[in-house]
Parts: sequence; C-alpha cells; structure tokens
Amino acid sequence: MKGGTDMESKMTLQDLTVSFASRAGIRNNTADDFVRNFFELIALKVVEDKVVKVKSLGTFKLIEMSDRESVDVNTGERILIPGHSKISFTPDAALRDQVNKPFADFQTVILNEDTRIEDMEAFPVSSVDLPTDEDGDVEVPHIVIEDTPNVDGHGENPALPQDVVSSVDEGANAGTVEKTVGGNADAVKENEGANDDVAKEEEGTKDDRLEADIQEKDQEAEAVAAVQEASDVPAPQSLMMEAVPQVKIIHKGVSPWFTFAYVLLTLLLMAVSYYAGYRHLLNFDAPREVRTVRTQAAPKAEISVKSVTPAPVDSLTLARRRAMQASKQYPQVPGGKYLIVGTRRVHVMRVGDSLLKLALKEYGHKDFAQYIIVYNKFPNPDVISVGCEVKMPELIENVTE
Amino acid sequence: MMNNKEFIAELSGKTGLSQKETAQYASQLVADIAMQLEEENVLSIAGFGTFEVKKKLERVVVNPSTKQRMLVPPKLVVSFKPTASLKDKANGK
Repeated sequence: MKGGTDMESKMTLQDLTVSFASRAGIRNNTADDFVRNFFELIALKVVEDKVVKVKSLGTFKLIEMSDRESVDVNTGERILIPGHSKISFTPDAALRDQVNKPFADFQTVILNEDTRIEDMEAFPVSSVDLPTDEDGDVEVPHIVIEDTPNVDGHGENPALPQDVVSSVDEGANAGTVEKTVGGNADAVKENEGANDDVAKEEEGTKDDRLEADIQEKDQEAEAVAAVQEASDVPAPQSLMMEAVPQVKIIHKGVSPWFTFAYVLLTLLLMAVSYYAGYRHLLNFDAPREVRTVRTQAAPKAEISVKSVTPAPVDSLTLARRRAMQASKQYPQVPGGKYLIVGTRRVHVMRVGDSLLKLALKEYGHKDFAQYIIVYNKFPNPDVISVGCEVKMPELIENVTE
Repeated sequence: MMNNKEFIAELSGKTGLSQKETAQYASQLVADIAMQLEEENVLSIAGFGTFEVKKKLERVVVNPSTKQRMLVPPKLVVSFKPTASLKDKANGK
C-alpha cells in the first residue's frame, strides 16, 4: 500500500501541461495555452461569480468569512480576525471516489454501546480524533447522513483496519481498539510462537483473555505507540504496516524476559497481599466480631467494649479477663456467644416498642433480645407494660479458653 | 455562479478553440489531474493553487440527535489550497 510522503512527488503546471499534451495529442504550446487559460479562468470567475463548477473536477467557491475573535497563540491576547474571503474547493464525487479508491471498501460502522472509547487513547494511532463536536468539521453531518445506509455491510478489505470493521460488526464486547491493540499484541505474540492465543482472538470469543493479554502487553503497546509517533506517518494503514516489523525488532530480545518478570512480579504481589490479608484475619479476628456489637459505652460500664475495641492485643485480653470476671455477677444466656457485663443504659418502654425492635436498634440484630430478656429477668417477655424500665445489657464476646 | 457549460463557453472564447474541442480538452485535462491526484502527487499550479491528497484518519463521530456513535473509516481526500496571489485577488487586493 502506498503511504508516506516519500511516495508523493510534486507536479507543477509545466509537468501537467506536458502530460496533458501527450495524452490529448496536441502540441505543447497549445496545451500550455489551454492549461493556463483553464486555471486563469477559474481564478477569475471564482472571484467574480463566487462559484465555478467544472465538470468532473469539482466546485470552486468564494466564501465570505465575517469578523471573528480569536486568541493569539503566542501572547494569549484576544485579537480580531477581520472578515475576509476564502476559496474552497469541493471535489466532484467521481474525483473524490477515484482518489479514495484504496480505502473505498471501508464503511462507517455503528459502534456498540459497550465499546469503550477510553481505550482509544491506548490505541497506537494516538492522534485518532475522539468524538468531537469541537472539531467543527463540516464533514461530520455529511458523513453521518451519507454513510448510514451502508453501515450494515461487511467490508472485504484486505488491510489491517478491516479488523476494526469486522470486530464491531460481530457485536463482540471487545472494543474496537482492544481488537486493534490485540492485533499488535498478536504480532508480538507470534514472535513468541504462542499461536493458539492468536487463533482464539481471531474467533473473537475470548474477551477476558484478550483484556488480560492487553494488560500484559500494555507497555508494549505504549512502546508501539511511541514508535509510531516517532515514525510520524499520518495515515493509519501505513502506520499499521510499518509498525509491525518495527515492533518485532524492538521486542525480539526483550519480550520473553519482560513478560516473565512481569508475571513473576504479579504473582509475588498477589502472594504478599494474600498473606497480609490472611494474617490480619487471624490476629484481629476477635475485635472485629466485637465491633459488630454497637459499642456506645455507657458511663456506668467502665469495662466497656469501647475501651477494648481499638486496644492492642495484651490490654485487650486484660480487659476481657476483667469483663469475664464481672460477668459472673450477672445472669447469662446459657450457651450465648456474648456475656452480659453491665448495664449500658436504661430504656423506658413506650407505646410501639418491642424487645426485638430495641435489640435491633441497640445491637444491630433482633436476636440480641434474648440478652435483654435474660438480663431483665422478664417472667413473660411477651407482655411488657408501657413505662417499664428495660436495662440494656453491656455485652462482650464470650471466648471460652 | 458559473456552471460547466458557461465555463466551457468562456474558455473557448479565450483559447480560440471550438466549444466542442474545448470541452474535450477540458475533460482530458481534468482526467489528467485526477490521475495525478490518484497517484497521490502534489499538483501545484502557479498563480492558482495546490491540489493535494490528504489522508484522514479514522475517527469516531457522534450523531448529536441519537447519540449514536460511529466509526468513520480512514479516507483520502483532495484538498485545495489557493496561492497567496489568488487569495489576495479574492480579497479584492
């Protein structure tokens, strides 16, 4: 595929004249005269008549620009750009299609809802226009209208960006860019000979896998992006074509070791964090459970759970021992997980109160009602009169040693 | 507003060729220009301007009314940049 500035050459009026003369079969000076007049007339008439249409070439237009404000790029000052005229050229449809022939098979595709645009930033061609209204590009509505009917068609393009087209059409969750980045990752992978991954990705089914791959290859993809930016080629297709061999060069020595080290590091981190979390669970198991009991320490209960909760391990056991000692003077729930060690507060029953509600409000669960019942020695807990004073017990966890 | 017919008529008057010949040559010239552009050559016409093929990258556009996002494929477009002298003429200098 053609790409890059090296392929282009500059044609002047003279070159065009010579080419035209030989093709039209006329003498050079006749051709020269004709070509000069041709362009002179367009130039003259576009100024005079505002619009000049030339068959199968296009339309030249004189566009009046009104005054507008702008900001000086260097000084940041506001400046007024005075109104002026601009000459625009819109190529004829035939010319436009002829020039765009290499890309003619590409079609506008509707992106899925879950296609993630953020990933576009990780896309090697970093200068891709994100959805832009500020772009102010006149083409935008034009494209939307014109290309929409074609949208469903599958492209048959041999070039790499076709991946983009097909992946979106398949409606796979994998974003367009993931796919494309994956394409680069594929290229790298092929170096390592992991062909089965490539096959899977081509099926477009292993999205998770793909994402994982991308994460692993993330840095490599950045490297790709860097390489491509450095190569400073404007077109995506040429970027793709050139990027692949360059990536190969870069990663030939580094990649396996890098991947290995990366995986090793990840595993190590996982192990460490797992160990840390597990240890934490083991050592601080007890206080955590206590914390589920609401610890609004009553002024009366010096041996409150509150003092226990944040305390270090040895003072905790000390307080606990004292609390256990204290618990002996109170009635206890047989086989209960918690010990009653004092009175947290006294509640006067009102209309609508119930022990279950109190337990739920005070301790976070209605099952704590039994502690209230036992502590207050209610003979018939189903019948408690309004105005009755209910002592809310202070609880600690019962640890049998 | 000047359409192609008027343009050919005027051009034939300037070159002294018949209108039929003029139309024939003009279409030949245009075909030649198109061919040059197809080969991605830069066509710079003194006193008139420069025709150039530019690559537009693929991009995502959003239809403002439906919020539908679309991926617009890369494309090659013809751009025209008038020379300074033509710009000056356009601004009546």
